[in-house]
Amino acid sequence: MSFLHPGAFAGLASILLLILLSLWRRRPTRFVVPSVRLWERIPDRLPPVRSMRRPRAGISLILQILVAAALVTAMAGPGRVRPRPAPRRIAVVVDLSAPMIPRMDDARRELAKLDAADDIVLIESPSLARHEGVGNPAALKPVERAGDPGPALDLAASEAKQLVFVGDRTPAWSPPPGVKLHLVLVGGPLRNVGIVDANVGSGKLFLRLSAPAEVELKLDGRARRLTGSVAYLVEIPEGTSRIEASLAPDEFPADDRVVLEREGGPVEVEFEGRPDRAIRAAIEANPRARIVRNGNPRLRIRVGAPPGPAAAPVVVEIDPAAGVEEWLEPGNLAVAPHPLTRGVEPEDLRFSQVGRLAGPVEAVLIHGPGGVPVAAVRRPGEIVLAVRYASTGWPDRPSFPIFWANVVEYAGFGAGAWRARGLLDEAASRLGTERRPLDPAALGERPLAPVRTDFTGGSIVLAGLLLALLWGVERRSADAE
Amino acid sequence: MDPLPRRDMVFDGEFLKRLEALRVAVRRVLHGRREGERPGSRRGGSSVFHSYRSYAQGDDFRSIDWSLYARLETLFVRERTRDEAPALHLVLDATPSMSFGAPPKLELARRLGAALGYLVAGEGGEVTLWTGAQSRTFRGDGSVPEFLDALATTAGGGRPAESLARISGRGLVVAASDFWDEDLPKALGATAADHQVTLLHVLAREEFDPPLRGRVRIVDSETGDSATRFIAEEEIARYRTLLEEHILGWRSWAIKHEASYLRVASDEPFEKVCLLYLRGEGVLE
Repeated sequence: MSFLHPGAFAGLASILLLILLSLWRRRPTRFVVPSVRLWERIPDRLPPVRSMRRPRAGISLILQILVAAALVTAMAGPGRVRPRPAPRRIAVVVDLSAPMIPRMDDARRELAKLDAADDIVLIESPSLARHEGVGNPAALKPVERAGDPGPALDLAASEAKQLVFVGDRTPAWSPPPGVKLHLVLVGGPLRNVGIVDANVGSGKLFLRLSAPAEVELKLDGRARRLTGSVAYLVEIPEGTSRIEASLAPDEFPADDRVVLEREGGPVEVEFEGRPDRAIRAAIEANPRARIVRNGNPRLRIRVGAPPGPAAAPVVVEIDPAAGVEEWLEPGNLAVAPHPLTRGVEPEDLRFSQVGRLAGPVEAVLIHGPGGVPVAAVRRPGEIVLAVRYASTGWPDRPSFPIFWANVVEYAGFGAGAWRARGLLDEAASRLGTERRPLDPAALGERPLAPVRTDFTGGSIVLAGLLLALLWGVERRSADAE
Repeated sequence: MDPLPRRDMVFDGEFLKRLEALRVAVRRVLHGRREGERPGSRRGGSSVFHSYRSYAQGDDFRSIDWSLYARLETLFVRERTRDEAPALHLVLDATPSMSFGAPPKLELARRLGAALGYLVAGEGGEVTLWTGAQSRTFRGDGSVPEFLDALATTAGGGRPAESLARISGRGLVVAASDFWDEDLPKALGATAADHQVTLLHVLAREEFDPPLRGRVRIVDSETGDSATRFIAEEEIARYRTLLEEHILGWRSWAIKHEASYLRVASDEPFEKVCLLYLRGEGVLE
């Protein structure tokens, strides 16, 4: 038995006071007699000493003493202290970066070895998400990117003196003084070849692998296969907007696929030749397009202009002055599938004349009478529309602004920088190979801590019960009188 | 005090037979209002000489004392006393102190009063029941049932001293009380001058042997006065001594005033008290 405030036992002096009061000021028993005459003639006297030594143990006095003792004990804060194993404060850092994707089952098994009775805080790396307790290891999901566990370990060191790091490699981090780091490594040999570098510059794609392997390359959907090297430099066609490089699946798929895309930017447009209000209005209405004059535009729209050098990455020729074999009645027109004709309806195409394009073309956009090409991508970045539409109503049709929006979009693919998705840090692709399972014994014995069971409430309840009993006794005594 | 049930006032046949063999002793000349068998203070037709007086016209010449005339040559008439029935004033103390004891003191006092009243009324006498300033008179043996009823229903009344102050004439005064009233000696002294007084001193057993020990606040049942005392054997012994003195004081008072005195405990058998003690003290004969 222990007491929080042993000094409170000085209050036991009140018991002595109660006894003294009961001796000296005990309320005399009331007794009614026919006459008090004779008693008045008997002198009063103090009780003899021998009766003080042996006070009558009245139930009331006993209850008063018990109440006082219970209250004093309650004030002293009674309790029982027993040494019991105390929970250890442990901070667990789990590396959830991409290299851990194939290691999560092992990591969860290691986490399950931790004693749930310990005071554990779990910190995810690299997100720094913090959880009290191990929680549900199945809910731990790695991210598809590399990450430095240093910040998570710093956070953990501020939480506990014992750290457990669960990862696939030894972190480049040193614990501060007084903090012990337990490494739980779930690395191991894995068959893995990954793309460690991917970039586009000067019209060429640079690919580097962690080991020589075959690469499947897709340039705007057109597939190519690269073989036998650890690095590749591939020429990419003008206008290519999406590149996808992938390796054969292995045990670590996170670094097996990279996608590079051109980010869209503002498209500067310049007009040349005959002014065309309808086209200008359609371009002005496009938020991505910006009309310039005497600049270096991304898109040049030439209307009825004579042939000249293509001073822009993308040039659209309307009613060209050259390159048309003959002009024809429009007749039945057909729209060929192409990004430039997406959303364009044939019935909207109202022309007064269409021209049969001369020479080879890369992709036909509109077929004229007899299937002759009247609009086409002559070569990448050069679009020709041999059509005349004055007073025909085409600009009033929905297909008109849609077509020019497609043109701006087409021109915009080459406007921004390339952005790669799925490319891991090179270090991430080098998977950890070391294995070091968790040894719970290494965490040390759980320290014996004095655990105190407090009895203050019980003492107060006991005092209350005794007080109620005392009240009942006193009331009964008063009724009896 | 609760009234006694009537049956408590009814005596069994054996007791009545023995009781009716007795009568209330009368040691003084009575001055009653009713004719009876006891010598009274008034002149009457009994055989007992009372006094002489000068002859007056119209007197019965048979009452002339001729012997005296021979010596004194003056006519004197011999007068006789009148035999009277006794007049009993039954003073019942019905104050709260009389409710003490087991049985209560008042119960024995009532029954003794009933026996005495029964005897007096039975010989044609007059019984006046006093409780405080209240009184009710019963005459003759025909009033016995009514008297017993009144006695049985006697409720708490005033002090006996108030009764005594209102009693007149000459007769028997029986005061049944515990005699704790400090005014009683004076009131009884005045009464004893003209009356034949009998004191029935009824005490409870607890008054002889009080069950008090330790620190006690003793409260007077009538005045509410209290005295706090530590009581041990020493105090009990002192109390008994004082009680003896108290009883002796009343006995002395009785002797001094030619009164009868009987001290009795409330738990003593009534028949024994009535037929033995009262007779032994000369209250009955």
